[in-house]
Amino acid sequence: MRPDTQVLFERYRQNVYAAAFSVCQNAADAEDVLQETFLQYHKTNKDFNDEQHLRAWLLRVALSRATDVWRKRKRRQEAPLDDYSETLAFPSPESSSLFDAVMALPDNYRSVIHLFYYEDYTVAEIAKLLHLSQSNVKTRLSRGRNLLKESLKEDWNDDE
Amino acid sequence: MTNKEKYKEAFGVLRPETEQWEVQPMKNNIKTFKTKRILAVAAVVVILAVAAVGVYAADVGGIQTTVRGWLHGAQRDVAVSERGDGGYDFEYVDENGNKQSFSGGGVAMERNGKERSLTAEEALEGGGFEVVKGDDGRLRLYYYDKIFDITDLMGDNAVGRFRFKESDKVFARTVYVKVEQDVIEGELTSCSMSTSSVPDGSRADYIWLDK
Repeated sequence: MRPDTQVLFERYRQNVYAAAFSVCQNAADAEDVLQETFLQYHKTNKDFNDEQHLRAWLLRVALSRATDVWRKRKRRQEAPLDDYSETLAFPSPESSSLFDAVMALPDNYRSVIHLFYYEDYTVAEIAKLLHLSQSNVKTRLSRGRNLLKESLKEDWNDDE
Repeated sequence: MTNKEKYKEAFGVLRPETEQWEVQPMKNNIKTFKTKRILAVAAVVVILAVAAVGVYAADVGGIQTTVRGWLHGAQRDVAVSERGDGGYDFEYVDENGNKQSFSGGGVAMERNGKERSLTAEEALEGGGFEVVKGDDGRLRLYYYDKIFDITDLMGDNAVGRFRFKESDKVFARTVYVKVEQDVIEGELTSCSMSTSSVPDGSRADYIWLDK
C-alpha cells in the first residue's frame, strides 16, 4: 500500500508532530521534523505491508530525526524548551502539569513513554519500533512512570 | 480518567502550524541548513563570515537579492527572497542548467547574549559544508571547494570520521569531520555532519581524505 502523501499528512501530521515534540521539545524543530518525515515518505519507493507498518515507519523516522535535532541542541548546550508550552490551551491545570512533567523526563524515557501512552503501542511493539530489547523498554517505562508519579503525586494513577 | 486518557488529553493540544503538505521537490537539496532555528555562537558566525571570501550582495529590485556563496563545491550566484519569518528562499542554476531552490535561515547569538536573525549570506554559508547523496548513489562530502567521495569510507555503524588539511594565507589547520547516516530499514533517511578543529576522541579514528 502506498497512500498519497497529502492524504497521509492529514491523517498523521498531529501524531508525527506530537512524537517529534516529545523528543526535541521545540515547536520549530518539531515542525521541521514533520516536514522532513513526510518529505522522506514522499521520496521513498518503499511499499508498506499495511497501515500499522506505515504508521510505525513514520513515527520511527520522526523520532529518529527528532533525536538527531535534540542531540545537536544538547551538543550546543542550548535550552530546547521555549515559551511554547505557555501558549498551549490545556483543558486543565492537571494536563499542563502532566505535559511539563513528561518534558522534564530524561530524554531516553520520553519516546518510550510517548509511544506507550499516546500511540497505544505495546512493550513488544515499542521494542521493535525503536530497536530496543523488551526488557530495556520495560525498564524505561517503569522508571519514567515512577518519575511521573513522584512529580504528579495523586494526579498520576497507579494503573499502567 | 486513566493515565493514557490523561496523557492523550495533555498532548492532544499539540497542533502543528503546517496544515497542508506541499510537494517541494527542491527540498532534496536541503541538508544542513534548511529552515532550522540554528543557534550559533558569534565566534562560529565570524569564522563562517571569514570563510565566505568573495561573498557579495547586490540589490536587484528591493524584493530579491543576489548573493554569491559556496554550494556543492562551487561558488554560485544565488537569488534570495526574504520569507518574512526570518528565513530565506534561495534559487540558483546548477551545473546542468537546472534551476534549484531551497530555504534556509536561523538565528545567531551575539556575544552579549542577544539573538539576531542570520543574514542571507550567513544562512547561505551553511551550504559550503554538507553531505549529499547524489543521484548516482554516491555519498559526497562538500567543504567549500573540496569534494570527497566518502561512500566506501563510512564505518559499519553508518558513522564516518574524516580529517583533511585546510589552509589559506592566514592559517592552516586540520579539519575533523564526523558524518552520521541514519538508515532505517535499509534506506538512508538522513545524513548529518559536524566539523571541528579538534577530534572527538582519538585522532587515529579519523581517516585522512587528502593524503
